[in-house]
Amino acid sequence: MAHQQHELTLFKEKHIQYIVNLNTKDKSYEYWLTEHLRMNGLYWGLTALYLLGSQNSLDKEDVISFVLSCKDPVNGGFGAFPKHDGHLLSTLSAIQILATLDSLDVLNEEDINDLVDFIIGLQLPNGSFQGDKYGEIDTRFIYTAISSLSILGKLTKKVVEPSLSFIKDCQNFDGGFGMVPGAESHAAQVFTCLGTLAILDRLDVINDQNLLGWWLSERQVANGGLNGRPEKLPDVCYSWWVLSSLSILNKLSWIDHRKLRQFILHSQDSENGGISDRPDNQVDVYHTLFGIAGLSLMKFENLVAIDPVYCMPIEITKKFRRWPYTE
Amino acid sequence: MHGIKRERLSEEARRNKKLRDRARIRNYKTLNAMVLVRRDKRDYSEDAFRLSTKLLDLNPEYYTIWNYRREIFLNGLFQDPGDAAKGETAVSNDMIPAILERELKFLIVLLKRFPKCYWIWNHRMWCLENNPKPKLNNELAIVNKILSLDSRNFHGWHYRRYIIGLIESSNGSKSSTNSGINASGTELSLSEFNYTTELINLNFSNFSALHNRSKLIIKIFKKTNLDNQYKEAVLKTNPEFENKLEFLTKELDYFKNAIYTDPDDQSVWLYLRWLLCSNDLLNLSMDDNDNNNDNNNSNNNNNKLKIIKLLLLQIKDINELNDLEKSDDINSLDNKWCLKIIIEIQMTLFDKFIDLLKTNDTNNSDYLTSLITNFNQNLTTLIQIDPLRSNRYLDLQRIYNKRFETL
Repeated sequence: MAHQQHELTLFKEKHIQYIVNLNTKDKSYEYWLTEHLRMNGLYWGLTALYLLGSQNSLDKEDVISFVLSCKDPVNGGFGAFPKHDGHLLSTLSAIQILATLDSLDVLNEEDINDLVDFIIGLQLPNGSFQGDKYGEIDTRFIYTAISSLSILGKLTKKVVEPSLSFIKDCQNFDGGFGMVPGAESHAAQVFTCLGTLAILDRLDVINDQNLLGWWLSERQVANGGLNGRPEKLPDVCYSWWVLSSLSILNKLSWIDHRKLRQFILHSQDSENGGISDRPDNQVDVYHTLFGIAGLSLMKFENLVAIDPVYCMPIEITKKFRRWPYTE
Repeated sequence: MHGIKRERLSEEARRNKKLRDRARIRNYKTLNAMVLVRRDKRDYSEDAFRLSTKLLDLNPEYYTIWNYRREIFLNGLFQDPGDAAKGETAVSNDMIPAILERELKFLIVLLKRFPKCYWIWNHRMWCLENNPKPKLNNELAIVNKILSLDSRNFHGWHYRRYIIGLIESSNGSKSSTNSGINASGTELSLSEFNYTTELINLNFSNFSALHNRSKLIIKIFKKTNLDNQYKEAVLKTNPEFENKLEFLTKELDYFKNAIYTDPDDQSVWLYLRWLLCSNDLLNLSMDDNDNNNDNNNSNNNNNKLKIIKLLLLQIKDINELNDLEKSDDINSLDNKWCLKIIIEIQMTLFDKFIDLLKTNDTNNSDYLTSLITNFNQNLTTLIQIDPLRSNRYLDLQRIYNKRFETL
């Protein structure tokens, strides 16, 4: 067993094939049931391919025309699929895809204004954001809004200040952050809050970074995987949420990288490619990206370097305009 | 796909799935097209509503259809048909509660199948917000049920706090007492606190309940500080809220049993760490005897000494537990969590009380030296027994020893 573990590697070619073939699975019922995730899926797949050094294996023109076909003519945001309503979750993915393809210029001034109006219009007086006009509030949406505006270079003080105060209210006694003030700490929400603070260059808002770092490091369980909350099962996606958070806090070394690598590699489908939440479960593109992104953050497997804040290749994010804007 | 086993289908099984899927896809695509066509035509009829029910029953993650459904409510089902076909005017706002009650029933059926679907929970909240007469106590009963099935479901907890908030604000708008805090609202914080006690009695490894408990404790103390009448009401059922130091002592007693039962469960330890090391409770404790205006400073020092004593006693108790665990362990290893919490308490002593610890009181100054030695020993042991996090312990050793040099 020990010997076998030693030889485990990342099945790069299989993962590339798995991702490229995702769009040919239309004979399966699940393909149709997941249309509402298509834009996110495209972002997950494209980013994973990029990290694997294979960003050209999707047809750039096809991808761009799909993204543009998802613009919501009513609210100005992007939906997950043509005729699906614009929502912050799919809007961030659309912007990330275009930025990754170095194609934000396919959006004209009017498109950009629509987008910015859509995003800013979803902020509430207490600084939180709703995902769309139907009112779901969650720190996930602060991140999607702020990250989107940041990629577009359209942050303003008026948006930033209240966001900071809302995030502050979401921190808990264990150092972590929840989806709203009062909600239990959860590793994915920790990432959304830290990511936002990092974009806004305001990590000083966090009360007790050592405590938060401790809570994050306690997410690693005996088999090397990371969980999202105390006493829960490990899941490959937390390789991203926890690891990127530790990286933002400059405490990446506070967990065992070798063991986490083993856990991620054991969750691969060695036959058909793709990575699952845990060993021997069904793979999907979400866990495939977050497994690969975790490996990239730990600098394993010669992957393209990923930015822990934007979850995009550093080659891309280094071009973004940094807040606070000087000119 | 969270938590679904990977399966290798045989050739035959794959063929069968393909065949089955072909029919399901045809059905789904037809239904989807019918709904989207109606939406394009701004069809807000009963028929469109029924079709959206069918589609959401197949795919509750399809957020756009939830949006359409809300449009149908707002522009169709909630509208007074007025001089429409029947020529009657009976249907008006009075119908909204009944329509939304029916919707809540549909959502319960879906939640049983998809308890973690954000969109369903969100739609449920929308239904309450658009109902002039929401039955909030029913919702509380439902969320009790859901949390009894999965006591860590964070959607359930989120919804619970949301409902409590709605009940509090509706109580607040109905009755306004001159103290600014209404009696039924305050009872609610307390009954929620007692609910967490119930859940913890069933299973102390319920971090969600412990988390909520921490929030409620802060809330209740904030209110008892402001409002004597409220405080008296609280003390009738929960005398532990008399003052913070007393509360802390009682709470530590209550959880001692838990750590002895399962010293490897991190939920309770993290909670104990909050009780003993956070500013939330320690600051509260220090403010406690402030009603005595004379000698505020010495009072404050007295309180600090009380807290130091309490913390040192906790270290002693946890060390005893660790010794027990060590003697039970085949390799005579220390218990990780005992040591993890001891170093937290030690760091709290260093961070907050270092001045008092190094005063000329010889007892304390001796103690400080041995405390530092013991702290370093604990970190060295943790590096061995908790290797996943060894770099954290090394960092702490570096940070604190640098600080100790300047003592």
